[in-house]
Amino acid sequence: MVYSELLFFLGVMPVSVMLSFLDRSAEYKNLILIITSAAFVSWGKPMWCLLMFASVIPEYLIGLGIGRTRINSRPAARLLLGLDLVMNLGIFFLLANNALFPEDSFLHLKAAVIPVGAAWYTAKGFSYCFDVYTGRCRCESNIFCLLTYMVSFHFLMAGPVIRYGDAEPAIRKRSVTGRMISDGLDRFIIGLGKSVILAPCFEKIMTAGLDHADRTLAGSWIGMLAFFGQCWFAFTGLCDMARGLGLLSGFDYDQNYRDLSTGDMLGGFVRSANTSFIKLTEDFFKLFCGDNVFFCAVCTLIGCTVAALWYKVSMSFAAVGLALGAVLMIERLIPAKTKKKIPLAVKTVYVFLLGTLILGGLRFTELSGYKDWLLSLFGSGNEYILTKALKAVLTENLFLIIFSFCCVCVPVKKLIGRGVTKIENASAGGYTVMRVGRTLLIGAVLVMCVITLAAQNVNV
Amino acid sequence: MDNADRFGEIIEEDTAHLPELPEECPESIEAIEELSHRSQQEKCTFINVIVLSVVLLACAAYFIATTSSKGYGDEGNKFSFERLANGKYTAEISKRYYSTIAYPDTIKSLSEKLTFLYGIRDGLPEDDTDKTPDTDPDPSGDVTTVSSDREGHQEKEITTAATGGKEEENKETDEPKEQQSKYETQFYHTTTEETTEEEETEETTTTNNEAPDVAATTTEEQTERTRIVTEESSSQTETAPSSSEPEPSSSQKESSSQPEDDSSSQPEDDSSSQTDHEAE
Repeated sequence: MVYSELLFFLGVMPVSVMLSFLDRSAEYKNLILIITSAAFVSWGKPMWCLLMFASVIPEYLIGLGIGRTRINSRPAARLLLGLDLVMNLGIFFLLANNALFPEDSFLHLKAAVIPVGAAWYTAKGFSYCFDVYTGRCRCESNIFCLLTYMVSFHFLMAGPVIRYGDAEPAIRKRSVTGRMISDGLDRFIIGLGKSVILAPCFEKIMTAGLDHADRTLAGSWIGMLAFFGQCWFAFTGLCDMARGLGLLSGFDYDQNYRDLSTGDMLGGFVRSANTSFIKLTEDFFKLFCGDNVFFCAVCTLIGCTVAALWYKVSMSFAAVGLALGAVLMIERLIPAKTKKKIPLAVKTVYVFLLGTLILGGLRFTELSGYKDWLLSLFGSGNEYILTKALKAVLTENLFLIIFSFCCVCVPVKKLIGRGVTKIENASAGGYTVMRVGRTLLIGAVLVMCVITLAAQNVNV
Repeated sequence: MDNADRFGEIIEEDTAHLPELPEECPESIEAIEELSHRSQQEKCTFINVIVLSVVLLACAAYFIATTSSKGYGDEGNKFSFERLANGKYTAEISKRYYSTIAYPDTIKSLSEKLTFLYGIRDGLPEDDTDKTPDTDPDPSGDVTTVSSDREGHQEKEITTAATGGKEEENKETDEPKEQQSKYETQFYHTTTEETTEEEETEETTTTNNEAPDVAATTTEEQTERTRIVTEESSSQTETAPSSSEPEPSSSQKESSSQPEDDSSSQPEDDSSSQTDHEAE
């Protein structure tokens, strides 16, 4: 089951939210959350997924052990942390990437693969023990609270990798206000719109541009940009839905992405997505490099490779991670004062070109495909500039493309935001009109998503 | 002094009946505005929650209400731990939920109309299904090449179109198509000569003549330059080398003309007709 399934947001989610309102105590809300999460994760694949939840017991015991030994016996605490890392890596390879194993192997588990979530689950589990080790949070003595943290379905799809120290106060005591319900619904529906309407639109453009027998110049550029757009909106859509679900349950998480920015060159651009996981990786590698600039740069290279493999264990992802890590390593060695002197336009062009060339490798599974695309970017091997299929797809989705551009382009987004704020502050009537208009627009998006998903599933 | 005292007495007499008003400070005015703003925010938040909750719950109620086990006879979806453990119970719930959506035609039609909000399209979906391109009486699955300079781009266009039951003829045209079926997929493709073997290995899917939903696609194995030429008023299939062609190795017509009563565009029909033509 995924967030964007009708059965989830028209069945499981409303039931879970309404049941949690029946009692104000945090224990009751946690119980409802655990039951709903178990139903969500194990839908159709119960046994192996519930097995994954059993990993909470060793996490709990290891956390207790680290908490008791981190001051008196640092090597013992380090050993326990290593044990926790190995355990989570094992779960990760077993459940998140079972394509590593041949189909006839009992490790393959193709039919029992957990939905997109085992990678986030293992990252979250490791982050708990890591934070106990570094002293960021104390070890949890109530396994029920830890279970709530670990199995909560809010961050099983696309994070965030919320740290236990940040979630603990809400786990022990929380209340859901009307403002949180309103923001939660808004967030969820906006995320749903991104996943159901925008991401498939860019997928169509990508297919028309890249998956064509005859590659064209425009198709190579536009198709790849559409691939990035599809990834961006799919990821941010899931993040928004997760945050909305959290707000509906009384949790206020940080957003797991930020506006795309080229001010900090390619490193800042890459850090715009999945900020929580990148923060966890940076904190982890800081243990090894300390304040040494060179070691930090090397750790950046290793961290990028690890992060890329965490997304998907494949040669292409490993290669992209290595290439990206090398560039970020060099950027790290450039003094901050020098970076500030570079004009923003130059940085933008640099990020655009280099980002496209490196991250474009994620699209291809074979080097030959990547090479052909790379050559076609500069017109080599292309006889034509544009296919009519691509032109048709672009025309048919023109409004969505413009809307997406306004959502992603920071200056345009800020301009629109300033205009809206100006109207809202002008008068009470203006504020009401803007807010009600926003409500109606979000309601329309919800209806559109429901119709689109129903049409995809209907059997005519 | 007497005048001042008297003047003060007059003032006191005039203002004696008025109530004493508290002095207003700027902070109180700001506080009143802030409270008013907050009250308005809360009202708008309430409206937002009500509207979105009603829409969400209405959609949920609609789908749940239409899900029925009546269509499944007496079997039902029996609950057992075994069925729950192997996922069959939940899979059956999902299957029933999605298979019993009410008014499926209406939903599909609404979904297609929604796509018109996404960009610029020509006509409505219903209109396009009945439309047959007048300028291109190509047989179903036929591929025609056109070369044109349009908008400064040198393009060759290969269009596979689902057509009506017209007699399909080969023709060669250099004119870009003006009217296209909504479901046509048009590719810009180089012109090449294609061998029979390549033809057979092609995977070309075409739509039927009735309701083309999927346009034809080219194969991945067209590594050579291929060109399909159709000639007018000829029931036989011929291919003529294009002037732009380097050295055609063989000439062949791809999806050849088919008799009128054989209007279904099936790959096997194409290959069989091609085989027949090769034999000729």
